[in-house]
Amino acid sequence: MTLSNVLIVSAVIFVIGLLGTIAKKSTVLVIMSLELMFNAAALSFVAFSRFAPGGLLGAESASRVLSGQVMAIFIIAIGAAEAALALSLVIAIYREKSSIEITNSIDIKEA
Amino acid sequence: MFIDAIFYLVSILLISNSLLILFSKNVYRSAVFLAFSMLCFAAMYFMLSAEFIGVIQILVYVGAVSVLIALSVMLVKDIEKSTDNNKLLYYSSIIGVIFLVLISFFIINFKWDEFSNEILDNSNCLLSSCGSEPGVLIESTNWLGKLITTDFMIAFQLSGLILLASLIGALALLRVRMNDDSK
Repeated sequence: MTLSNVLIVSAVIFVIGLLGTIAKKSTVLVIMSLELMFNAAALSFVAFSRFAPGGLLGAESASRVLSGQVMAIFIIAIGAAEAALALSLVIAIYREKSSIEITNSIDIKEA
Repeated sequence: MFIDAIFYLVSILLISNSLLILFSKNVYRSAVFLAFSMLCFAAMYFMLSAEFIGVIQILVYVGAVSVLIALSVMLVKDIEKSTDNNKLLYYSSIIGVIFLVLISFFIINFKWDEFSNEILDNSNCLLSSCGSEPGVLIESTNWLGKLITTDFMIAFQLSGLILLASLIGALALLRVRMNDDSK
């Protein structure tokens, strides 16, 4: 398990999420793919934090080694906020259009 | 050796679950596969010695977000049709493969060791255990808490503000629509 291996896994997951975000019709599947992309980014942050040089020796070193994990925490917080907001948007779209296809929701502004 | 085998196993599970999210014929199954792949992410975090992140991942994603998505999947009327792709599938897969090849090329060919040695030269840490060995994190949760409440204090407060704003936004979005229905 080296840094390159983890980064390549993270890149593969990111590309899968990108593909789903672009190519899916259903809004719920687009949100799932967005979550995948968030988590791929968080995984690469944690991998950088794990393979950062030096041990945990003092406050100086801690802020260098653990910054990646702090970023992962923030990504998880933002991802949770995004999921709640986007799913409530899905419910709002469904009430207007009786459908959750993303192509039907282009003119949601007028509704 | 043992951890390598587990790493490859978890990677294969993670990638196959993520692909199954896109290519399964049932949206509800996609939600379940999302929960599985989030569990695989948590396993990956545990292997990367980030225990706190792994626990938070299980709590937030497997416990909350997957349940939220599974609940909103119940809105879907025709489960067979809702996994359709639009006409951008081929273009986006070509773009994705090109992106993947380029970034893999970069990741494999970049000299990570020299890069981390350069970081070490520019930082002032004690010389005794500052090799290019990966850091062994003792009490990482303790240090994480200290770091969040000192260096990242403003960002931490702002993320709380974002959570509050998304909560209020979600409630407002749904409440207005409910009033319209009652009229």
